[in-house]
Amino acid sequence: MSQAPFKRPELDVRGPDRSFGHALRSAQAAGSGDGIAGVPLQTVTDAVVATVRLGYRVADREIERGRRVGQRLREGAERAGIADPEQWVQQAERLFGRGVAGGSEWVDAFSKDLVQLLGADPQLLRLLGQDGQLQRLLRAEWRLLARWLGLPLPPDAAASAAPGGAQPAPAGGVQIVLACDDGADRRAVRLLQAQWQELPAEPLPLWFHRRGGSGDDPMTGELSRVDGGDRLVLRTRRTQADGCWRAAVCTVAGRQLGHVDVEL
Amino acid sequence: MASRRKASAGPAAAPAAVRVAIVGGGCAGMAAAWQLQQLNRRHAADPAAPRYEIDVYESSWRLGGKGASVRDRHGRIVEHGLHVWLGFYENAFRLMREAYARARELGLGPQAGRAADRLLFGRVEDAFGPEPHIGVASRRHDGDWQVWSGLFPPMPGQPGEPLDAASSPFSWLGYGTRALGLVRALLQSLWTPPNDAAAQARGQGRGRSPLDEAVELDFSYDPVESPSAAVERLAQLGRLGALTGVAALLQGVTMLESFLRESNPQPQLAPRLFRLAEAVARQARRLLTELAGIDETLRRKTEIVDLVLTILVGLLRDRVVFSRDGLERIDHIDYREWLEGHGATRGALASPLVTGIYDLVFAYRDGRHDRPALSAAQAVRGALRMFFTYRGSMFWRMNGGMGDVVFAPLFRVLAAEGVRFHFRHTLERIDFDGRGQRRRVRALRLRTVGAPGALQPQLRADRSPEHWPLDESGCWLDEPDSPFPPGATAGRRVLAEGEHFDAVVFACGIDPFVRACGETAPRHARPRSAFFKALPAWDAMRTHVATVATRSAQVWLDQDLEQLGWDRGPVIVAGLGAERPDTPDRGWETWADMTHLLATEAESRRRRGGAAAGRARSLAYFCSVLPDAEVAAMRRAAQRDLKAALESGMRPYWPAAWGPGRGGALAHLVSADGQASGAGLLAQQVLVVNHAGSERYTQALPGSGRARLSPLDPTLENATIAGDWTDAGFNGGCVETAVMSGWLAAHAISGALDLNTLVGYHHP
Repeated sequence: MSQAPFKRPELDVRGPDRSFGHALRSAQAAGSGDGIAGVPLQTVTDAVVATVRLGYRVADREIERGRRVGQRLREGAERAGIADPEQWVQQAERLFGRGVAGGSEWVDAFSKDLVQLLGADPQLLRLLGQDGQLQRLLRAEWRLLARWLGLPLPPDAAASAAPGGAQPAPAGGVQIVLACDDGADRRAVRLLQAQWQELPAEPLPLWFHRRGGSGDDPMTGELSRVDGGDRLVLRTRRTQADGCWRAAVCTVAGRQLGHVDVEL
Repeated sequence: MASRRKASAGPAAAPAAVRVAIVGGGCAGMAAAWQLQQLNRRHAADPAAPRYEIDVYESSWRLGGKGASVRDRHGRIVEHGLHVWLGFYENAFRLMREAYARARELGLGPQAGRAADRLLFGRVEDAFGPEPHIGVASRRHDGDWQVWSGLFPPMPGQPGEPLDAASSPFSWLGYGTRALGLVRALLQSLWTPPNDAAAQARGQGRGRSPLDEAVELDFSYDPVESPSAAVERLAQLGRLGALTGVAALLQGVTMLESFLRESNPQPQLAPRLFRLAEAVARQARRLLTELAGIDETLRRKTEIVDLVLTILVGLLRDRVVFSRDGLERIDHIDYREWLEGHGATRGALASPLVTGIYDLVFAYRDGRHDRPALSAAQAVRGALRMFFTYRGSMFWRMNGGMGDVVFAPLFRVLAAEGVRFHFRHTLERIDFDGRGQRRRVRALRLRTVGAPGALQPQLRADRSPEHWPLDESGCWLDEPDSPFPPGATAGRRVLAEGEHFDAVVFACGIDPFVRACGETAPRHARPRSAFFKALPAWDAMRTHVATVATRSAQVWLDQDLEQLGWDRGPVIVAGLGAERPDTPDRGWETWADMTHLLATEAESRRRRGGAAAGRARSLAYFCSVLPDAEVAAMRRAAQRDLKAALESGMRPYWPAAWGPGRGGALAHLVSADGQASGAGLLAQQVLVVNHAGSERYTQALPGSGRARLSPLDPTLENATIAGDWTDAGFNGGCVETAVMSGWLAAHAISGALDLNTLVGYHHP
């Protein structure tokens, strides 16, 4: 009996399924740990929740990383055998001080990018937009990193970290001018904190008192708006003690607008 | 879900045993034979299962196609080229694991009592060894040569072992998280010292930390080892705010990585994902450019970061991730052009890393180095698979010739189980029948060795030792030692449907197949044969799937690597001569140290009566494409380039060979019998030009992916195709593609395999 010629079977599949969904199947079935875990995000709310969660995880990781870096830097002097460990650590701290300040700026810039790009969705905007949850989280993270390393906070970070710090930092920064009769009276001044509400048109006189030094004569100064920026004039003397000096920013009528801390 | 058989006229109506003729004994043909034989093993347990009688017709005197190798009379391995298996060759490794396991069951192996049962290796673990060290060569701005090499860290598992859903890395999320993990590790290594685990590993692994294993250039700082360098490095990075930038960038990448890891994105989130990735990439490029400007030694790392982020952005921007076509959506465009279109920096595009990828897959149109061309789809798919899905080691070396390691066990097992092998049978013509878009194969016309019209015995019956066609240790014999010496009388043989076969698998190269279908040359603009005129899809494949000639050299030297001046250990280096990208022929592209093969060669020489100890201390393989020309001219070009490499070209890598009184690499060549060394032995080194037929390498040119046809294509009612020129899911010119294709061919004939077990087939 002759048989029918062989014919290949007809198959349902004639080529690979190259769609994304197929590739995801194994991800959904993945285990834990470093595997390819997948939490299906069906709604925008799911996405927001997941993003906030990951934000905290990122913060944890960064803080831990910062802690390790700080520890290594402090141990570095000993291990590197440098003669003056204190100098080495100071240099490293300055380096990281600039790093932290730059990091805050980067967070600002990156968030602005995201706000611009993701502007369509109000929920995500609340999360990622200007002063959104994520941005605040990142700022807090940078502040924690700086504190952990024992670094002075950069001015904007310090301002936002201050208790009840609802006051915005002065726009455009503060220009410091030393007005001394004698060049020998000029002292190195560092602005520690400066916050106030909008200044009136007329210059405001300031009296700085040294913190912890009740018997010292006050250091005088003047705060004014010049060309859209804030200008702080200080009259330093060679006899004034080193340390932190604070002045109240008040109107002529005595209403307090804010305060200024400087370091001599 | 397994594919179902629908046809009532399927195998149920076929003879009890389907006679399958497999034309071509390379990787694809052997994989097809293996899978059909697996079904026969099932038949033994279940008589209701289909059964297949398998005949393999091979044009050469040995199996392997372009993967064939033999031992010459001095025991030296003679290959077609450099063969290295990648750690993602899941299907190919699985085939070999099964073959070696079956060989042990049948009593085949190195310890077998009969010479006819011997194999060089008894276990896949002995046959293959991990090779994590690869590199690319480049010339620095100051003109000095630099080899940038990387030790890729071992990954969990071994290739070819069973994959379950939890361990499968084949998903976009898997790729995304692994890619960003790599970027993060690289960025981290720019500004942090190695972690504790790294410090621990420092003592074990050639002075490099795991982070540095990702890239060999040592960017990490370790105060214990070099205090001044550590301080200087920190100060350098701190200057200009670079440290801050990297930290911030790291944060961005971490966010993105975590997002991918924790989410399972829906298509509607694609634009947001893309914007996020683009924002990170934009920031990254700016910062990385600044970094590279500060320190040139950072360039290679920044190039990797740039390339990874560019690919991520490109995939999202081109909607590849959410397309039904997957990566085929970008098949039509060249890889470099695609990267450029998505913002890769000029430095990254010219990077030796990118050139190395072109070299690895011989991606030069017509074999000309000034015409690089590589499908972006296959390049990205290959890179994803290569970097992010390997198990064990990224590369695997064979501890013998590919013929010894791969084809000998397959041959021995299949022959022992009844598969018939017919050597020296070359397909000349296929007789088709049919109309419309369906064809049947009615006859195969073959050229054989022997009297015209006479049937060639499947194995040599007389005057052969029992172990033929392998030697007594299980290695393939060279042509002069085979029963088919060059110049043997040619004969003809016709195989008819119904009489000699029921089904056919065309597992030869595309060029022999196209010629057998009636085309005088593979890629004429207009089809000449009736077959291609009537079948546009087949004609598109004929036109767009190209092959290229390659050359290979094997050089034995009487100096070890360190004596030659290379102190980084065994390595594979691509990108040789890449400083001349506009030259049509820049010479050898790749050098691989293969010194590990000297031991097996010495043993083979001893068995052949030679001295056990030879003078060779190192073995170098070279390979590259070769522009098409007359065969004699191609051979002359290869000889010229080998001489040039040994006279001066290898000097940057082997500087000590050109030391005082040394005379360069040419002065250190070793003779064929391994007993003499010195100058004047160039002709005794192995030089191979692969210019014709299935020896040519199948390329992945832009547009070729979509033109490939699958072995599952139904046009041929009683036949199918197999090879690295078909659409096998992963479409590169490599062992894995060929094995996947052979597997699919067996499925096309039987309809009895489960497609979900073909690893990586359903892949974007």
